[in-house]
Amino acid sequence: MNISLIFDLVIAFGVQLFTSQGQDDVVDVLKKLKGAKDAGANVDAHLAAVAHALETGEPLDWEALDALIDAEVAEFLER
Amino acid sequence: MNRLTRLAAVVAAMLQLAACSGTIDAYEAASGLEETAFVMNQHYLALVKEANRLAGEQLLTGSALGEAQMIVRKSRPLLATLSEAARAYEAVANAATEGDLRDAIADAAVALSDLIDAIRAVGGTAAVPVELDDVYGVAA
Repeated sequence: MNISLIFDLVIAFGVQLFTSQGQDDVVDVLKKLKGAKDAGANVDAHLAAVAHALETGEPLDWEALDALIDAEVAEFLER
Repeated sequence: MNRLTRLAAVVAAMLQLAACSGTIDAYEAASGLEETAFVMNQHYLALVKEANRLAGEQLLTGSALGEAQMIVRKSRPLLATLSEAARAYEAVANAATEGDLRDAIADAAVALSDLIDAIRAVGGTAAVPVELDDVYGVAA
């Protein structure tokens, strides 16, 4: 069992425990902790795929990348 | 904040430090300035995607959301400049285009760092100073 899975289990247990006790502020903190941890893992997975693409000699598609960034930025700024 | 939450914050901080092999691999796989610039833009895309996800799940809200949006608004032109400088260097590699690209990489690195801090702050690991004696109730 790796540390990431243990962390997820601890958070899930904590959310259940503190929800039952009505401690919504603690539940909120725990959910944010998990969200930040997942964000780090997702960014890392994205860049691992980029590493693989570079290693296999895929061409750099700047236009597609710029379009994806523009779309994400627009969505985020509209929130 | 109670001990369990502080302990979770410590674990989260450790995971953030440890779970970065893909990020290291990407920057190490980049050969030359142009590919480094490409990885930085991909890094930026991944970070903004995550900011979007966190906001969608109501984990990035209020002033934290506003601050992250301000960082993204300020940083987008820097990453666009980086993209343009990389393509100019790809088309004509000379001292001028290389200098422009190096400058753009330096500016984008600061922008990426700010965005990473904004996302880390969601978990409280950047904003909350955590001491071991606070976690365990004894002096480390």
